[in-house]
Amino acid sequence: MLFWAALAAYPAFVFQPSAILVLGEAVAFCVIAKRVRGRLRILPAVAMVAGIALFNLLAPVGRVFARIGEVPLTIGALELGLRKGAILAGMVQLSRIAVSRDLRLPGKTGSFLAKVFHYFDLITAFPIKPKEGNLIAQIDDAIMRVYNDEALCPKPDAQRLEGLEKDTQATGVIPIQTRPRIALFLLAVIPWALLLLGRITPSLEELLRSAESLRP
Amino acid sequence: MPAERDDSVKLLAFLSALCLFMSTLEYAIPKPLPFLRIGLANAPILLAFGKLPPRRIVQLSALKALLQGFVSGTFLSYVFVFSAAGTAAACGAMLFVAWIGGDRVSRVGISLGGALASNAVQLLLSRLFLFGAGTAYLAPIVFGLGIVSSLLLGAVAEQAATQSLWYRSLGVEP
Amino acid sequence: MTEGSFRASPGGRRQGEEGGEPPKRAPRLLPRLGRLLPKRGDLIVLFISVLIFAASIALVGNERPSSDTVTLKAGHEEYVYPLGEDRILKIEGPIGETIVKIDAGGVRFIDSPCRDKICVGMGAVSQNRQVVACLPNKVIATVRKSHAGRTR
Repeated sequence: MLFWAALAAYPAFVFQPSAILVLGEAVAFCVIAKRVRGRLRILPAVAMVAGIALFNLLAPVGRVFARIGEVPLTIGALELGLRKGAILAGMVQLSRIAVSRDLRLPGKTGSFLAKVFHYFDLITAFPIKPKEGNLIAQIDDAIMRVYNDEALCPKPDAQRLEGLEKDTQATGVIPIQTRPRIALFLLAVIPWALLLLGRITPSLEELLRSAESLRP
Repeated sequence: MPAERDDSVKLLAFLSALCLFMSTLEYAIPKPLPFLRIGLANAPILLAFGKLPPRRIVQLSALKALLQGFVSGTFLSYVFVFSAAGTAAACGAMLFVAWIGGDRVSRVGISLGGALASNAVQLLLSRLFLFGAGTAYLAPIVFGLGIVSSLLLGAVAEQAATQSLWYRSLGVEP
Repeated sequence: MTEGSFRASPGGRRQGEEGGEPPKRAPRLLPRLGRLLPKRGDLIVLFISVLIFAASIALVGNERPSSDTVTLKAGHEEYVYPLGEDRILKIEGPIGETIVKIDAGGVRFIDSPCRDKICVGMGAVSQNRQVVACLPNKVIATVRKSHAGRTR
């Protein structure tokens, strides 16, 4: 259900015209992703947004708020960069919300992918001992064993694998994580409401102008 | 022998898993800038040359892009689109270099060709959708690092092809 | 793959060498420096890559992001927009709004609250350092072009 809710939110988020609302949505997706998938790496996301905003500042558009030498820094360019960066960061978190390892496709594709993940589990579970030296020979040996004789490999999690295989055969689709339905509904619908709001939300430049006009 | 369909599919699944493993490894390596990658996940694709026919190599490239997107959680983002476009360009370039080079090119040359195509396409997409004209400043860094990393990756793949017992045991595709 | 295409024979092997047993000493991650580019084709691909790398450095010099812009000054406020991208702007001055149009033909004032509308009659300007100004409303538009775009 998370997958479908995130998919439903996706177009409304990507086409959101307001930079302020996009930033807000991106932050919300970060929070949801942390809650649902755990472990959120803030620094790469912030670096991504900052990097894109910085590059967009090099092409000035709109009101100048500062200068670095001869290069004018404009609010329009900053807003554009922040919007692009926030969309990218938000997309990544939306993807994390949507997709989990338990999501499987039915049919031949499903069984092929299950096989791929099975090999992946075996490879990652194989013990490599760096202290015993000759790391490359150990890796080669591990690959040889995983490929040729899976029976000799340590089982990563026999119970989970058995469960996965049984369900795949029975229904073609693995049981999906369940979430409260209201939360899912909100995740799918709120971005669309914000999309409508975005059309009347002022830009950063307009907000700045309003703030200045209010000054005595 | 990979000549049989079952063996070919088995090797495809296994190399896909290796691609996934390599991209997980790379994800764990800290990088100075988030979008500059070494491309470890391309090593199994380089190993596929000489063991799998071109259509399987295309399938492997597609699987690598899909699985990376799925597992790294970037499936619905520009990152995935960029990565997929880069992978497609790299696959085409690698197959072209291998076909036109024949005996005169090794996995090093194939790797270099793939990196060049991938970086060019990704820079073009960055120019159009992300950084605008500022992309020009990124281009030399991306191409320069791409040459170094693809050179090393190709050399490692070539070494693996000569020294890996597992790889030798696979035989040669017809 | 077809005859003449890439072979599975590992790189670095010279003619006459047998493709038999794996090396007896411990495997290395990287080959020796002299065998980094085992075949002639690798050198050619490397050469092409380096050419493109060099071209990208040259491109940095030519494609400056803030090339060809229009700077609009209205009192203490300053605005910068790229020249050539169609835009209609409303710039607030002390006596009202000046309507500015930027397009492929350059920049022009299409309306202003001044009495004589001399600024509107000036038409479009597109060359480096050319100016259109509405002095009563204190709005000035200046064209700035990069080195590549200048004709004088």
